[in-house]
Parts: sequence; C-alpha cells; structure tokens
Amino acid sequence: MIRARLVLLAFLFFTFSGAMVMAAEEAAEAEAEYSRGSRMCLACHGEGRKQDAHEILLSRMAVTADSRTPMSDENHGCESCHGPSKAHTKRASDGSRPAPAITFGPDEPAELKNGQCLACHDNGSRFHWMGSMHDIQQTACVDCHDLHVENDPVLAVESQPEVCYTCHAEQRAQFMRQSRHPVQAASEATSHIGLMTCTDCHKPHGSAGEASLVQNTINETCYECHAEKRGPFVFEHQPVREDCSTCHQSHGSNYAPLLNGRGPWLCQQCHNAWNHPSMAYSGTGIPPQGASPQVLASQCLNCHNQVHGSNHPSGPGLTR
Amino acid sequence: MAIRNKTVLSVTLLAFLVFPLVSWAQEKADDAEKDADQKEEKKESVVDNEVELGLYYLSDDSFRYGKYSGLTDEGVYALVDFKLEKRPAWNSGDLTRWRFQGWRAGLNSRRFVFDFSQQGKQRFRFDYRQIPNNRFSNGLTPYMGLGGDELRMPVGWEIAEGSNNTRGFINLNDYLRPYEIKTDRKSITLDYDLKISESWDMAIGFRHENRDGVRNTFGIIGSNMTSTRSAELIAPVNWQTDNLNLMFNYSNGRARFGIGMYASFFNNDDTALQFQNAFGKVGNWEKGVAYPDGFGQMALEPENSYVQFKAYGGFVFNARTRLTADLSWGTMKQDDAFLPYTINPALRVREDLPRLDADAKIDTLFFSTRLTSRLTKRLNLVVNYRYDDRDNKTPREAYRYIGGDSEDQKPTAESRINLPYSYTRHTADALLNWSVARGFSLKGGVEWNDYSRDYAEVEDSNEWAWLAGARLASWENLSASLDYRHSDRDVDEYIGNLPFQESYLPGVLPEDAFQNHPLQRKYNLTDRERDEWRFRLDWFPTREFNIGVTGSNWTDDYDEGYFGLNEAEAYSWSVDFGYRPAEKVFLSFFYTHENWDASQSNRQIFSFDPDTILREDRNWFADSEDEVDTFNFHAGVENLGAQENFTFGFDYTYSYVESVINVTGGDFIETAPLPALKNKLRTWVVYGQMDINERSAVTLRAESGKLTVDDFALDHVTQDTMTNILSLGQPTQDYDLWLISASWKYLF
Repeated sequence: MIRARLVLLAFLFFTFSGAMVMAAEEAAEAEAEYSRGSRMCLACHGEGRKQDAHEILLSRMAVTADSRTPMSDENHGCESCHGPSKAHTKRASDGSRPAPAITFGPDEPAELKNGQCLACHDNGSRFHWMGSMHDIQQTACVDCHDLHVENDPVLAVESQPEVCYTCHAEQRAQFMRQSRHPVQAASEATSHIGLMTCTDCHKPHGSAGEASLVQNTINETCYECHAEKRGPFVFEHQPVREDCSTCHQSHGSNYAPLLNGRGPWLCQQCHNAWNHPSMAYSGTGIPPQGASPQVLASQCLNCHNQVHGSNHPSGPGLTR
Repeated sequence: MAIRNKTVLSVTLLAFLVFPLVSWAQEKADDAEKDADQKEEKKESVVDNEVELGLYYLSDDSFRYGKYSGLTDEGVYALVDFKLEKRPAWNSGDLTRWRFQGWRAGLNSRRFVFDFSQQGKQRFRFDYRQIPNNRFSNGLTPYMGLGGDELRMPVGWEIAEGSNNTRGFINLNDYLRPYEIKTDRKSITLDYDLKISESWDMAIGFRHENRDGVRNTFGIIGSNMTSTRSAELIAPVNWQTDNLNLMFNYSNGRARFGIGMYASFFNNDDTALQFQNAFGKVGNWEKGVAYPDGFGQMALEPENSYVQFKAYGGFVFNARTRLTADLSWGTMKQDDAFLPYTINPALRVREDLPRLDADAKIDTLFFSTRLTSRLTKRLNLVVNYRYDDRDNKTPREAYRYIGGDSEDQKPTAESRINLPYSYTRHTADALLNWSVARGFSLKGGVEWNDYSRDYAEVEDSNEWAWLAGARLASWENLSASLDYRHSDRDVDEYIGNLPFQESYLPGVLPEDAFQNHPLQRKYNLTDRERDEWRFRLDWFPTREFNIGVTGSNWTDDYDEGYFGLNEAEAYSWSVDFGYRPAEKVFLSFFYTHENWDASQSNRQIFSFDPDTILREDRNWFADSEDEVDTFNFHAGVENLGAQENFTFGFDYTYSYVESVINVTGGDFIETAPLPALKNKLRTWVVYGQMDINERSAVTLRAESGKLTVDDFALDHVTQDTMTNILSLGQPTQDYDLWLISASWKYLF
C-alpha cells in the first residue's frame, strides 16, 4: 500500500515537474521569438522609409489605453498581427533579412492572414464572415482594409466605392450609367461623394440574407429607403411583392428608373393579354409615323402608373 | 400612425440621451481611478482640423447635372468642406476621439457626420444627409395647384365642340407653364453603440427621413382602351420614414448570440390626388365625367409600418467548426382608410365598399443557418439553409369598382377580388473548397432553391444549380480565378389564367377564360436554364505596374414554343491598368464593355376568339441589344517643384450606351424600325494644388461635362402628341457645361 502511494507520488511529481519544465521551455521559446516591440519595428519602418508604417500610430489600432489593441502593453505591438518576428530584426548569415512571420503579402493564403484579424475581430459585423461570399472568394481582410493609415479608405464615405470597384468592375461601369443610385463613380468628377456608399445596402462581411445585403431579403433592403413601396396594398403586383430585381437593376441601368429594359417590351415579357398588351409596338408608334401611348413618354405607366401596387378600391388595373 | 411614431421618436431620443450620459458618468468615475497610473506617460491629444473654403462656378443651367449634386443653375456656389477632429495620441492613455466632417456644406447635396467614441466603450454617430433628386424641369402643364393634392384646369380652358382628345384643346399652349419635378431627401441618422460588459454590448440606431417635393404620375379617366384618357400630373411628395434598430449582443469565447428589433414607419401627408378632367366627353362616359364637371382621384402611397424581431446565435464547436443561425419574424401593416370608389357624385354607386380599409397585413418569418467546417487541413465546407416566408393575411374582398371615375358601378359579376400574394422560399447550398497547394484551390458546390406561391400561375418552382471554380493566388505575381455555375429551374404546371380566374367571383368566368395568351410564360415563373461564368486575371510584374482583366457572361434559356422572354444573355469584360513610371507620377486606366441581349415573342390577340388566338401570322418578335462602353483615364503628379509643393492631375471619363430594339412580325403585323436609344457622357477634369506652406494650400479645378441623350419616347413628343394623353412633353435633358472651382485649404 505504502509502495503504491510512493509510486503514485513519484508519478505525480515527475508528471508535474515535467509539465512545468515543458511549459517553461515553451514560454521561453515563444518569448524568444518576439522582438522588442513596435519601437524597434518603427526604427526601420518609420516615416520616409521605403516600407513605412508609422501612420499606424494615428489609427485606433495603436491606442495603448485600449487593452485590446496590438499596441497595448498586454500585447506584442506590430507582432501581435505580424507574428513573432525576432528573426526579422537581424540579417541572416547570407546577408538577407528573413521576412516577418506574417507579411500579409499577396503570396500568403487569405486564411492565414484573416486568422490574425479574426483572432480579435470575430464578433459584431464579422459574425457572418465565415462562409460569406468574400470569405468563399478568399478575400483577405487586408485586400480591402488598410491598417497602416489614420483613416482606412474603405471605412471613409468619400473613398469606399473606389475600394470596392477594385474588384467589382461591372458595378463600377454600372454606376456610370444614366439611371443609377448616387454612389460616387470611379472618376474625379464632382458630385456624389459620400451621398451613398456600397455599405448602405451591403454588408461586406456577410449577412444572413442573399448578396450580403443589410436586410434579410432584396425587398426589405430596398424598403429601407423606399418604404412607400412596401405597402401592403389592396391590389398587388405579384413580382413586385416578391423581388424588386425582377424589373430593376439596383446599381445602374440604361433605362430610368433603374429598369432592366424599356417599356412596353419589358412589360410584354410577362403580359400578353388581349388587346393593347399583346400589340406589336415599333417605329410605327413614334412621330412622325404615329404617337402610340404605349411607346412614348412613360409607356405602359402612362395609365398603369401604380405598378408597385394600388390602394384604391377601384384600382385592380393598377391605374389609380 | 402619428402617435406611434411620436412614441418611437421620444423613446429613441430619450435612449440616445440617457445611455451616453449614464455611461459617461461611469467612465468618469473609472477614469479618475486610472488617472494616477497614467499621468506619468500621458501625452497631449492630437487636434487635426481641416477647412476648405472656396467657390464653384457652373457655366450653364442644367437641371440634369444637378440631379444629385445640387449644382443646377448657372452661377456661383459656396464650396465648404471641413473636418474637425480630436484623437488621442497613441500612448496618451486617452480613449476619447471625435470627428465632425462635412462635405459640400454650401450645396443642397450636403452631408455632415459627427462621430464620438471612447474606444472599446461607447460610440455615438450623427449623420445628416441631403440628397436632391432632380427629375426634369422642362415639362409643361396647364394644371393649376401644382404641389398640392388637388389639380384644376385653368380658368378659360377650352375644348373644341365634340372633341374628346388632345386635338381639341384649343388654347393649350396659352396655359402651359413649367414646373420642376424634383424631390429633396433629408435624413438624420443616430447610432449609439455601448459596450455594457466584457461580453455584452448594445447597438441602437434611429433614422428619420423627410422626402419633399413632387413627382410626375398619370391620372386616368375611363375604363377601357378606347374610352380612357390620361393626363400626366404632378403629385405631392411629403413623406417621412422612421427606422429604428435595437440589438443586444453577447460574445464570449465560443458562444455569440443577440436579440433585438427593427421597426419602420412610413407616413404620407397626402392620401389622394384629385384632378379635374381635361378632356371633352367620350362616348361611353356618363354625364358629369367630362370637363368641366368631371374629376378623377387616385390613391397616393399609403402609410405603413413594419415591425420585426430578430435573434441570432452562433457556436464555435472548435477551431474548425462553427454553426450560426438567424431568426427574424415580423409584420408589415397598412390600414389607411379607403378612398371612395369614385369622386364623381354623378356616378351611381349601388353598393358600398366591403370594408373601410384594406387591413393589409403580411407576416414575415425568416430563418437562416450556416455550418462552416474545416474538414481537413486543406478542405473547407460551407453549408447554408434559408427559409423565407411571406404570409399575406390581407382579407380578400370583392370590390365592385368603378372604371376610372367615368362610369356607374360595375355589375356584381364584374367585381374584382384582391389577390394577397404570399410565398415561401427555401434555399440551401453546400460548397467545398479544396486547397490543392499553397496558392491554388478548387471549389465545387450545389445549390437548391424552392419557391411556393399562391395566386400565381405556378404554385411551386424548383431550381438546382451546381458550380465549380478554380483560384490561383499570387503565382509569379499572377492571380487568377475562374468560376462557372449552371442552374436549371423546373416549375409545376403553368396555369396561365389562374390569377385572372381567382380575381373574379367564382362561377362568373368560363373555366377557359384567360387574360394572357395561353402560351404566355412569365419569365420569373417558368422553366429556365442559366449558365454563368466569370474570370479574373491580375498581374503585378513589379510594384509599379499592374494589369487586370475580368470578364463575365450569363445566358438564360427559356422553353421554346412559348411567348414571353425566350432568351437573354449578358457579357462584360474589363481591362484595368495601373502604372507608376516614377515615384511622383501615377497613371491608371480602365475600359469596360458590356452587352445585353434579350429576345422575346408575343402574339397579337384581340379577343377570346380561338381563330385569333391560334393565328401564327400575328406572332411578333422583339430583340433588344444594349452595348455599353465605359472608359476612364487618370494621370497625376504629386509633390513637384523645388519645394515639392505642386500636385496636379487629369481625369477623363467616357461612357456610351446604344440600345437597339428591333421588332419584327408575321404577315399581319406592321412594324417599322425604331431609332437607337443613345446616351453619351463625357467628362474630363483638370486639377492642381499648390501647398503655400505646411498649413495651407490652394486648389484649382476645372471639369467639363457633356451629356447627350437620344430617346424616341421623349424626343419630338409634345404635350398633345398623343391623342389620348395630355403629357408634360419634356424632351431629353442634355448638357454641355463647365464647373470650375477654386478653394483654399487650411489645416489647424
């Protein structure tokens, strides 16, 4: 019995002491890999240097009083994000300088880079990040965000669209069409800076609904600013209730107001009722050959102007 | 509705006042304790203010140019932009920062944002936006009372004896006068975020928006194609929308969840638009319908509300697997009092309205869940499921309507029953992403989409899709991706006359009575095959040079042998180029070409007559094609000169759209070519900035803009061009102008 207790005691002792040694070694190993902090980094990456990063001190990331930031005393400064990089502070025997543990360069996988960011930012608007469209497309946080500046361009209303246009070339062109939402186009032309931004409708970190929209559905997102279209009306128009994009292009269109096509032909893609909805309208309906109310002015809406729904008890034809 | 809104407004404002004050008081107490520790290394906060003052000069009047910019009339405008900011020095121990920023303060497209935060503790944001929306100013109308809810013809309005169309307006031109069709949207947004504890935080947001102005619409008198007359009217827009968001969030280790609500209220100061009939008597109009006694009335957008409750939760099983879910349920309501069947007392109304208001109500339920898992070191799985249900509970009633305020009430048999559309949608997808090697990955997945609807031609539709893609990230400074998706929508039996039949009292219509041709298929409710692909190629051979090419294409194929949309295709491709030939010089360029094609077919029919329905010589076809070219070139030089204080640049944008609609038909169909619809926008900008010293700079900027539009629906169409419609007759709005600005920027 005593022998058994001694064996158990010895086992516990060795186990415990072994664990302590291993922990101390790991700690020493980990500590050894970090450099002496941000001041050392900025000695080479300060203002005027080729790869300067000093402006990070102007950003929220550098506020030491916030214990969550990389620069707080509880963290490792630049290496909180770039990983333990003591080796980077010295030259190797061949004269080269080893890269930091994580450079956030284009040759590193998005998952690795994003892992660093999500270690702290895995909440709030990033709740839907995992599995979102940008995540699936392997977009890295740093593809959109610039952390080493005072004001991240993608968070500034005046510069956000330009960041999005970097990848979204189709939308960039659509915002130069004649009928469009007032998002600043990709040019120096004055006018729409800050009136609307992409994030008025989209959540780039993902959302519960489709197309990373701010609300659950396309229609609910549109109703945010177009609540007058929400109804419900006594006489509804079926596709309107279901999906605004059945008839509209949200970014920009050749046909006002943001329509997928020109009336009456757009309407006739669904409506082929007897009499005027089924008629062939062409150049015979425009001056000087003719003056068809289905082709001129607002086309079908010249009469069916309540196309989003009518609340008039005499409005089944969506005219009133 | 107004009371509800006031309550919401009061509660919100109270919350915005109370929460920051309580929190601020708590922070003060905490800060006092910390002060002693931080005094040693406290640095001064940074004050960074910037004001830009100057003038714009617009060379010509242009309502169109000012559509969103607010630069509408020729003349001088104030240029006022500013940024006032205080932020803590990084190691000051301070957490408080604020910024007050304004754009275009001198124009009616201004925006102001005030952002205050104590980092990691609370944040308050005020956002004011004003967005003008100029529609057109070159329309002319004889109506009086513009901007109000009752429009009358001018005293002295004359109609030729026996005339019932616009040709009979004897003195139309004497009474025409312009009116600007525009709205002004002003919104205030207040957001407040509070970190309640280590794990809990709260976010409350409130937006109030006023939209004022007028819009164009059309008022009709008459009940069928031959008796209907329409007039383009100017309707008042006096709308207010209040949106409220409130969320409580919990995040701790592996678990995250939140609960909250969203409420939105829309108010309209006007319920109806009355208008005097401008036309002389049409054959089957009742007495008292024609000018001068006849009036029409249309319903304006009804006040409505949407209240939604939200909850979400997520659990991180381990570093590899996570499950999230979102749930929202709410109700949309609208109970504005109905207008009477007609405003004309001369018309006989035998039966009262079945109810006083629509009592319209839609219950919404939305649920989504997502599982993400890293199955192995190289294999990721994402599985999504969404459930979206719109249950429209608006009561169905038979409305014995009156056709366009022009006839006695319809017989009971012609009553129309409202169709409160509901739908339930399920979507699910699963995607696998395989990292084959560092920087190279493949993906593949399936998607499923199921719609169930009522009162629609198709009760259930089902769509399956599969997709595949490959991605190469940074191989020899090259990145590339290629994605393909194929989907196949399969619908239940298409019953084309179901909504038509459902909108009449049972037994009134013959079973085979229809409205749309039996072979008509609505494109959102019919079988469809879609192929989509997109690619992207980026090459960064040096730090100074990059080039990118992107392209996409989708093709929709619908079942042959039916009318409606038969085929649609779109493709686009873009080239991007960026170059820094020297440290201070940068050049960029992009070109995008887009093409849209749509082919549709229909058959001209005049009645239920089977002979008419079956005659193929009445078939007609329309092919629409849009070609869009967009081009931008930008060149700039920074920090030039001995003192490195000059910056200048040049920017050129060109966008050209040409849309061609070609209508052809069988022997019975007479067609003529339509002119192309064209839009050409050309803008170039030259700008230069000289830094006078470290604190101030002057900027000069010249912008030349030219827009030309050809639109057969507006060009050469005057107020009385259409015999049965009195329109505003506005032509297209071109412009060719200069905008020159000079400003002084001061940093302090």
